[in-house]
Amino acid sequence: MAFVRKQIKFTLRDIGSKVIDQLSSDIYSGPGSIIRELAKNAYDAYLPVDPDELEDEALPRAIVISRENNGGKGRLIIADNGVGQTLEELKANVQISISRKPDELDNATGFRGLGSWAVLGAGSKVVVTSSKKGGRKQSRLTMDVKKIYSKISPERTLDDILNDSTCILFEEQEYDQDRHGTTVEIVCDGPPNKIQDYEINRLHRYTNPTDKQLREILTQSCPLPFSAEGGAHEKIHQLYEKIGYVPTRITLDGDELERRLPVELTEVVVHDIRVGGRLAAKVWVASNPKDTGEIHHIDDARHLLGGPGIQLMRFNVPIGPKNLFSDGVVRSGILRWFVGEIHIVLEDVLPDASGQNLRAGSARELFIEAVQSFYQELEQSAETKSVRISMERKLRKGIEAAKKLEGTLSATERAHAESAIAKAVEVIRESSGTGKSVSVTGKRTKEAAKTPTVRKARAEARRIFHAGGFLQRFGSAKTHRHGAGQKQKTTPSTRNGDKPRTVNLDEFQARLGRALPRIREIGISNEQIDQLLRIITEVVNGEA
Amino acid sequence: MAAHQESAAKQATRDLIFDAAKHLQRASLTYLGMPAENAYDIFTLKPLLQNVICIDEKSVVLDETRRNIAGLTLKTKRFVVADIWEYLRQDYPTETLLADVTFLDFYGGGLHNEDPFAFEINGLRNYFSKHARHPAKAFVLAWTYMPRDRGRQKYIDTLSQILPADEMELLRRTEGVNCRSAALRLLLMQQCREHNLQINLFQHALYKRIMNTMIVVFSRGPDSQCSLPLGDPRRLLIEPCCVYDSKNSVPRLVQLLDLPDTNIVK
Repeated sequence: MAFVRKQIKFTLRDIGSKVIDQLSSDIYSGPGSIIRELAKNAYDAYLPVDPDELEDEALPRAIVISRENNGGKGRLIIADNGVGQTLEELKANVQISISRKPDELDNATGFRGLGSWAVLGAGSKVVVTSSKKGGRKQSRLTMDVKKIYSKISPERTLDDILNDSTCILFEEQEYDQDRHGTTVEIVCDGPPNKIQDYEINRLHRYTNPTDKQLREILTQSCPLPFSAEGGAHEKIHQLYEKIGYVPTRITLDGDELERRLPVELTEVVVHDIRVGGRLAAKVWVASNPKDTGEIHHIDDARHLLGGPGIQLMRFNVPIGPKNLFSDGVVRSGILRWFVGEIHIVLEDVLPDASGQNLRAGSARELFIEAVQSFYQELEQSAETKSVRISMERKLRKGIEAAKKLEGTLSATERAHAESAIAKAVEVIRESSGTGKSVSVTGKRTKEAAKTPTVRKARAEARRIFHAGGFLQRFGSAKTHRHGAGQKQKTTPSTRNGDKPRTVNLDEFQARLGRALPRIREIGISNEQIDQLLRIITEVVNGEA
Repeated sequence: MAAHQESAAKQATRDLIFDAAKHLQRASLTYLGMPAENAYDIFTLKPLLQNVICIDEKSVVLDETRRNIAGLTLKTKRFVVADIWEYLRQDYPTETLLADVTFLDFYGGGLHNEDPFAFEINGLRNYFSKHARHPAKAFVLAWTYMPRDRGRQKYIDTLSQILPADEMELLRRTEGVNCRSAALRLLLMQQCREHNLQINLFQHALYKRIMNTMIVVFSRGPDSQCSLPLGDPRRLLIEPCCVYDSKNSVPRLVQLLDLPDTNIVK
């Protein structure tokens, strides 16, 4: 007894027609993933085209999205002026999992080879019209979604659908225009509806030009480039070159969709994320150097940033929500102090079909670890920045107060000014120590003190306070550059070494005012305080 | 061959419309017309356009137009399945966009329907009436037509109901292929009178006696931005027509209307 090898052949007749819905609705579940696929295909269409030629032809390097809705019938059109497709290449839109893009195109965003299937349930009909650059033919693929879905059944096979021209129709005509590119037209003949159990017209609501959500979807799922204008944007465009992304305009109903940084975010820092010595991602992060806390300058309609936070991307296509993989890694909300993008360059770290996560694999895990440690670095820098800004603010206020004290001030104003100087002197003292800080706060303070802005402010404050005698009054010998001594309290002191001092009435009143809370702290009543003040007044006035 | 010549003439017309539109000196213009599948009008005017309103009686034609211009970054692309006169009569008055450039590109002439007052003339009136509500905003109207369409008498009978007797006399004296051109000029002059418009006859040409093209810039009151001189609509009676015939490579200027013994233009 022995097994004998038998040759069993398989064809499309061995694949059930239900696989069609599994390829579309199951994989490309939301409107974002459908539109992202179309935008990616349009982007890839420009990759083989010489940019100079496009310019000569006066064709914009743009993904043009337009929509119409007349009496319930809607259309969403995504067009490009890219290289276009021949009839044979259009066939690839229907082929399953056969993509030549990764081999033929450097930096192609698409790699799955699921082409038009991604779009299937989006409308009731999908029409792809294309003319190849340099060709003299125009080709068309029409997918009648209603027919396709009505014919899906356990008895029918993939072969029955793919080779039925009432379901999938290919056409070609002579074309004498110089134009080239592809237009994908999703026709919705009404609101979402079901053919058997399969939903059609899923993008119907987005075909209405008054709908605002499509813009949001594009912001969250499409490769919108940053504006090329503005100094801060230059760094981002330089980074685009390094990640292999070519800025390609995206317009919606004639409006250009460009990401922009709020003008307040002047600090743009570029980082590399490495995994095992290999460059895994290029990162840029922007923040407001003059403020701490969550960024509030972002206007979603104007900046198209989708709020503050860090966005994971590949070829400028967003992956998942902002701050992906940060849960439990850093303090909640800390990444909203920044806006930035992590552009994955590792070839084996790819988005999944939903576009909401990364494909499973060991490379993914290592990459996530690296991203998480980058988030932690950002958290640390946020905390250091917080300390730095606080130090700068105190020093600046102290300097202003010292200048004010040169003029005439009321008792209260004087008290406030002196308080500000005292705080600034405290900052000078804390940041000037040479000892090693053990506490986290101490370390942050030392780190923040090294930043140029703090150093500059501290030097200026020290100069002004020294000239005005404030270092001596409010600080200890230690605060003086030439004097190292033991720690002392920096609260305003009436003593200045052994030198006797004359205090004018205003100053005395101010000091007394400042001391009132301390008097209250003793636990005496307001009436008793009032009596005490009367006594002091009499003493000062020589009436006692 | 004839088709090619006509196509070349048509493209020349489009280029001239582009030139006229440039004189408006306004950015982001709106086009209204019947661009057909290939939308050559729109591609020619593209650098000046922000919005387009495409009219055609056949939805399949507009479907192709839509696909062909899909790659253009225009703010508004409107596709209306309608007869152009019906559109001008009924829909254009309530359209939120105002056409800066209108191209009525006919295969026939101007006055087709059994009752032109219900269609063509009413459509024209509504068109000019809408524009007259926007003073000092010049606009281009281009019109191509076949000079040999419905009978001469149709024009005379129709226009005699709205034009003064002396102008009708001018029309009656005009012979041959010039009759329709003269009739349309008189019709436009009448519209200018009704809506108090100034004009600049930018171009009027007759190609090989088969296609007429007229490009006129109108404005209610002076438009300081428009770089063309705008004047009395009676210029429509005086200005000659540029005639291209198959025997001569250089066109001739031909007076359309016989004016010597009339006081109309004085």
